[in-house]
Amino acid sequence: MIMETHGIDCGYKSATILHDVTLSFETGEVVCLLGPNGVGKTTLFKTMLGFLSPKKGRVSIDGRDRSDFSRREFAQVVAYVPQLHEPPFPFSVLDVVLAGCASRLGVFASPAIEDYERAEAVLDELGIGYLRDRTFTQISGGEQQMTLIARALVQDPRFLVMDEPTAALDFGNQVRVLSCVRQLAESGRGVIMTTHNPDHAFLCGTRAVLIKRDHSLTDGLVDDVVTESNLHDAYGIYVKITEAVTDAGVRVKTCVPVLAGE
Amino acid sequence: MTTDEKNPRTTGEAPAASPELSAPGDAANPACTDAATPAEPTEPAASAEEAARAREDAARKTLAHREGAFQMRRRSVAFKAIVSVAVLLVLFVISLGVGRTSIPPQTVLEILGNRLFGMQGTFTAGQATIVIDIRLPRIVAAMLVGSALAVSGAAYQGLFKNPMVSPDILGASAGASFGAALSLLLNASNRIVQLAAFVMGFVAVMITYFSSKRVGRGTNMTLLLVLCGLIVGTLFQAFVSLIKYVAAPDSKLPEITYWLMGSIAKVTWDNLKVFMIPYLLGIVPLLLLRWRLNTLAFGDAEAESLGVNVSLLRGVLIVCSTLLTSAVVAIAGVVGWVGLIIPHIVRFITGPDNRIVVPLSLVFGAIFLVLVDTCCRTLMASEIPLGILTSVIGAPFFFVILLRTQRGGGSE
Repeated sequence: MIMETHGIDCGYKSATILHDVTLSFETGEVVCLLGPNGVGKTTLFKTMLGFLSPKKGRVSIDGRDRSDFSRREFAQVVAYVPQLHEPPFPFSVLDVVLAGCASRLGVFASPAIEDYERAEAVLDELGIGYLRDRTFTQISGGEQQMTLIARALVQDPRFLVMDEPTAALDFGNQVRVLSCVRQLAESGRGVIMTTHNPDHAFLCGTRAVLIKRDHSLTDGLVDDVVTESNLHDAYGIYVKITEAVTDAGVRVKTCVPVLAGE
Repeated sequence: MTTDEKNPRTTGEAPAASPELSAPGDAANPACTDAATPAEPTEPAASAEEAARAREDAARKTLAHREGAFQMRRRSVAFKAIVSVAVLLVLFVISLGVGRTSIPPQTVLEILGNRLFGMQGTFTAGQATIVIDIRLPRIVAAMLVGSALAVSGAAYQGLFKNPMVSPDILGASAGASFGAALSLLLNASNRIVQLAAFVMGFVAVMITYFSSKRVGRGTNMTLLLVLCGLIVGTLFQAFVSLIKYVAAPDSKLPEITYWLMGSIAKVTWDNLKVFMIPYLLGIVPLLLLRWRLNTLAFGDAEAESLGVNVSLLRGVLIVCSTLLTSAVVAIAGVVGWVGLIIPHIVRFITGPDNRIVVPLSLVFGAIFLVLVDTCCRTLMASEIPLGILTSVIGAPFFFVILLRTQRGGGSE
């Protein structure tokens, strides 16, 4: 399956933030969206998800226009994993995950036993079955993030759009979420995620899209996009890219920033 | 995540065990299943036999804990529902017997049995008249009014993602008060007063709704709705004050004031028959849509990404709640607090899943108002207005609930 933006302009009523964006995303890929704050990553997401309509151009899935999908149909293909925020009521983890059933249930229906089973199976697959009866507002940030991923998986989408899934997580939980992201792609889903850490693109990205400060896009393989000069153009800082070798002999690139004055 | 639960061993095993578990809905959840395989070579120590046993163990563990979820919840909900309905029925019978003329519960049951099923009993015609013609309509009205307010309160708290919201947040009560006050001032008949209250309650909310649409561009609609509700509510309250100001101080003013304090003392079967129309039109959709309220808790954008048509759902919830609130003001005046505190009490007992909160609010709202109205007509020689007692009883009660939830870190 392929999700595409065809020359879209993204922005709000008064200001267009991104011009003429043409991108395509396929299932099985992890595409990392990088760029400084305020450059339009979230705006692009909102446009792709249909929260904002493109000011020009169109978004399509397998050639079918985004606007031809009903909310319900679209939710069965694309799931959104938002940034962490607290709900106003202390729902249990299971209740949060069950909300993912909404697009597959009738308007007047409530989740039935099969839906409960499916939700629990997803929790088990993500290794967080033990959270089932805990209160969402009382678990750790990493656990909340995994819960929201579980909710997205209950939707059973082809694509997951993740807005900074590693933000506000400690180092260990960041790595756990990234491993999960890679596994999602290996199981045949497409993942599009924003991140502030270029290392995350090296770790689990198959492709990277870098939005620079002038709102121009660089799209390509991670190694071609996340380079010392591109990062300098995007963020205005100097970095060195070096390589580490894991115990299994896998080479992983990593960025080392150069602090001002060194 | 505890390190214990998340160590590579457990994460490696759980998915490995899942294919056999998730067989029924297989297409639905391939998630990380295949992905677990690359993790396995990192733990070569385990022999094949050991691994198989571990997998079996994991499978048994997940199955055992899974069996619970749905049935466990259903059992606990069924228990709570049966107990609360039983409480309501007991209260219903007792309150029919309580009053200036005290009638023992057995006699009340005999009278009810006689009317419903033609059973024989030992009671006087006078007792039957008191129970059936005087107290029954009033108690039925209390149950309907209480349940209507509690359910629309629960729906609004879900819709506005705020546990401090009550059903009059969009100006329904203020509008309805204005309609009633104006028609009382103009000497209209009782029927016209009720109709005017109902219509103006509805009109006020529609003004709120469409003005918020006029201002908003699709983002942050709930906040705009609340703000516009504040404007419309304040405006109609000012109109009510104006009417009171111009009303004759020795005849009209007390009539309006007393009417607005709320009472179901004079409710007749005819009133109730008419009331049933907006009641059913409002409450049935709210009961049917109750689970969808859960999806709204994370915000409108997220609910849409889950496949929910948020603006349609919001519109339906507002129309239904407004039908209920306006109809209540029309029949009973302004009865505060019920819509705010009953959903709280219910969430305190069952947790926040609206699938349970909404129907239980219906029962608890009925219980609460029967209780309060019985106090209204028995505590003092003369009637106490309903709206006063709901607040006098409700406010400290709410305080106790807040104390319990905040201290115990309970389910709120």
